[in-house]
Amino acid sequence: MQNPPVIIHQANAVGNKWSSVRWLTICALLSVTGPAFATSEKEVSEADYLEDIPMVLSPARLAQPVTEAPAAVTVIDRAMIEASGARQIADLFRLVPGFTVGYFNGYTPSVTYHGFADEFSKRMQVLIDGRSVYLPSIGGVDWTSLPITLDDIQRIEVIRGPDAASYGANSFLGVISITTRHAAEDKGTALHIRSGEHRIRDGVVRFGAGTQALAYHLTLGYQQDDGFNTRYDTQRTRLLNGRVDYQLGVSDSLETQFGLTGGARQTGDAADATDPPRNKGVTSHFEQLRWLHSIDPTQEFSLQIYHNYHDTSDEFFSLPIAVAPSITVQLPLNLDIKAERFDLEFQHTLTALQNFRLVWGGSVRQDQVNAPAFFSTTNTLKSNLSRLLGNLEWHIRPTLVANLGALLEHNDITGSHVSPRLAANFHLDGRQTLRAVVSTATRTPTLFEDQGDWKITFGPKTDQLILGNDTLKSERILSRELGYLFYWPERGTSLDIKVYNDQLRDMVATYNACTDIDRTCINNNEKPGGKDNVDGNFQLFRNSDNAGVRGLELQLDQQLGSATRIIFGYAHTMITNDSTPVSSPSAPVNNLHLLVIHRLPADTQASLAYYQVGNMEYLGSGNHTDVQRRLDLRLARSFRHAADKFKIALVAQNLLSAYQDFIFKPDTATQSFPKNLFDTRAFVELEWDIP
Amino acid sequence: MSMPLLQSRTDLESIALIRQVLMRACRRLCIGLLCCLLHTQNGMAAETRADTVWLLTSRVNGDYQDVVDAFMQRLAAAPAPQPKVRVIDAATGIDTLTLASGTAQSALIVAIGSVAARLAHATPRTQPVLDILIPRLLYEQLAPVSSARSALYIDQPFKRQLNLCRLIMPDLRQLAVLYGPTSQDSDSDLRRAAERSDISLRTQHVTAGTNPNAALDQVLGNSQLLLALPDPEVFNRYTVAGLLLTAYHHAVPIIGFSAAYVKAGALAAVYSTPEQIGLDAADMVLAARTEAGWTLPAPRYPTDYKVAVNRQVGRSLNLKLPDDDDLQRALAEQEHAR
Repeated sequence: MQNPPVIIHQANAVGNKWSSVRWLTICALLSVTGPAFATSEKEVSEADYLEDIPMVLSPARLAQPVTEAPAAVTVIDRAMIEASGARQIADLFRLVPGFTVGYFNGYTPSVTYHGFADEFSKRMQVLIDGRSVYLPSIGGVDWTSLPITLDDIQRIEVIRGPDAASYGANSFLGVISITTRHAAEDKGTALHIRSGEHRIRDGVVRFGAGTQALAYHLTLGYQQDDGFNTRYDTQRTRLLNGRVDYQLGVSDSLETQFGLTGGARQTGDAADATDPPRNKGVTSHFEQLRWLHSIDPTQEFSLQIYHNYHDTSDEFFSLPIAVAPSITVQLPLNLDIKAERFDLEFQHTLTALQNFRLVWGGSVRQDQVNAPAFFSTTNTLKSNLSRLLGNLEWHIRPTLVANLGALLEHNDITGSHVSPRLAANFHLDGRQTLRAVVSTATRTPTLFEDQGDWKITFGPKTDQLILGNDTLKSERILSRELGYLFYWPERGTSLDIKVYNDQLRDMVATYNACTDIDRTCINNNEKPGGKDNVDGNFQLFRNSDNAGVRGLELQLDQQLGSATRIIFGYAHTMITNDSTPVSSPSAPVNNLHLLVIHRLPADTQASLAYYQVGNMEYLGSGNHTDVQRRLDLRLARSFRHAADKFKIALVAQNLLSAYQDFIFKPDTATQSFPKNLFDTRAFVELEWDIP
Repeated sequence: MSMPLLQSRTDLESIALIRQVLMRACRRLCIGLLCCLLHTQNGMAAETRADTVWLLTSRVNGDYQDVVDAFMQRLAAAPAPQPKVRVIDAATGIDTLTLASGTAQSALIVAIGSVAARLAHATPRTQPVLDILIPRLLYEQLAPVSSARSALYIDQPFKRQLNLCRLIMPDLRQLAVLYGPTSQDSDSDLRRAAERSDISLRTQHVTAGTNPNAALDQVLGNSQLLLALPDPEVFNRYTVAGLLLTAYHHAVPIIGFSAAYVKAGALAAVYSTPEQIGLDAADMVLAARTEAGWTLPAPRYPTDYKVAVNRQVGRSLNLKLPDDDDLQRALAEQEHAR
């Protein structure tokens, strides 16, 4: 009877030995992966007061205060994102003075500041966590395939004006900088679904967790709607993104992100033989890695590498085209575009000297585009860019802050440029600030503008549509602005008024090779652009346009009592375009928005958004649009059940009469009018947070 | 089953017993040797009975060494006769301390840090003990109220912390606080201090194993500042990133409890350095010396402290902050006014 316990005893000893080996291995691993986090006390001790902890709000993560920013800035915070009732990121920019948001079709918003946009808004820089999502192929941003959901966004900073010195090339008319939420901020599971008219069916699942030094989250999303009634523009987009924030000891952190979107989109028009109704597929993904190293509390270094991939697959047959009496053919067409971007950059933030703060950095980038139809080559076109930029913030006196910055850029398309910026912020008193800014930037022509060669070949006949121009220069902007800020946080007031005068030079515009040049194109064998065997009736690019933009902008953020917040913005924009007269300007003369957020009893919140956009006309395929008035309402109620949080919201977009957006294309042959009529659309949202 | 290859339990037990007896004998021998050493030292000591201080450190490096150095420096500057100081590392000095219970009656044990405090508390002894560099909550948990025991805390009185909050934000009305299982014991003290300072508290309890970020969302609301209290379930080095970022994104600055917190992204903190604790403790020890022996004062907070401010965070949140010197002076004035 004595033997069994002996055996058990031994077995236990072996077990203990094994488990201690395992434990030691785990400890060793932990000490390798995160030396500062290898042990965890369950009690308060003096170590809590004495130990070093990671630098979380490092200079790179701290936003520059609006009163010292060298530009007019609008911040869109989480409360505004929620209250706006927006379900598309692009719609948020209706809350920025001077911005217009137009939908070419249900899934192609064009977001621009001070006009000058067609369906591709080429003159804006858009960054997500420092990663440029501007498409190198044809310019602009594919907002619908951005691999983030509204729920991933922490805040959006919109710089109203050129800011190449801080944000690099193509920060031309303005910059949109989106910051997503740090993985450590979201733990648990959150479910967000939306359903409503126009076959709106959206769903987002976010999951976050973390162990000691490591936090991660994953977002899985789906979005669909049927766009405008009169357009063939139903879209479905699937999305997956992830983020891992990893703290390596006290002074280093690694931020890894990836994202993937894909889906089918209807496109085309029954009235256009070469653009028939069809489905196209869009796939995009990105990978990003950022290393932040705090050298000491006053200095920080970051190194970032990212890769963007965007692929539109659009191969189809045209509708039957009559080539001879009783002979029709269907042309095979391929409008595939594949665009990639590789970017490596570093940044160094220095705050060592009390009155100075220096941020400088450099980057190298390669853009690759493969689009056989648009470039008449199956080769992948490459374009390199390198840049060096810096901004010195100098607190000359407690009441006077100067920002001196510049971007030095070299690219394959137009060579080297310097874009300086000078700004001074003068604090009149504790609440009022005057701001004076002179800022410059350039926009490099897109690869399509530079090397595009779009033609349709059928037998011996070649129909040239558009031809690039490799002698194009970069577009230039010189912006001068005066700003007045009234900031009184105790009263919940923040007011920014800006008057400005912008000069735009060498803007790239298309012209007809035959009719717009001072020569005749009777002979179809003439060779404009140096190309053989094409007729002269096609579009070419040239730096033909100069324009001036003057105006005034106002934004007010006012807290009324503890329950109400009012956000109001107004823009008066005067565009003088001295070469291409248009019936109406590409930005409305008057543009305003109002967002009222009101907290009601019983965890209920009501919000109202009113937008009024004056008449205007988008460039390219855009047409004259009349004054748009839009009223959105949202009513949300939160409640809890145990630890779970719920929110149910009802949103109605455009409670006023339907307005016409972006395009009005009467086709005389078919008498069809594919107006983009934005009618009332209501949807219900349900959020469920499981901590 | 007839011939077990393994030793029987009784065999094992007897070996263990022999080992124990041997160990005990060795330990006695060591103690005896040390006793001889000490007796000779005591023989040479001055007349006053309060003549020896045993500095029992939790570790012998870094911050603990700074406390020891400052303590020695202040004692060396004191008028003669100065008490003798022996430094013992708590990690290796267990038996030496056991010895103290029998012999060096005239010694005062100054325990630096929690490991030393625990050891001094667990050891049967008759000498008075002064715990220094110890959080108040831990001291109260360890030590029953006794005249032979006192403390110089590492943490700051709530009054002082609230004074700092007020100086940073003159129109402060609502202060957010997150409690965990440990820090919730401070609730009544903090509430009393807040009431006197005319500040309303918005508090939330974080239960063990849950995400403090969820609770944080609820306290931030209309709060203007968040006062961080150390707690293994709330503010610790693992959760600090999420908490600092979330509070910052709500534009609610955090008042931390150490210089490291300010470096990490808290707006400000009032704290005492190990040097200040060492000097303060030495003053406490010198004042406790009487002809009859050691008379310890009541446990108290440090009298010397520093203020740290993260100007970058303040600037980013658009806060007008007083200079460091002005803050320090104003804090001192407010304390002397009472």
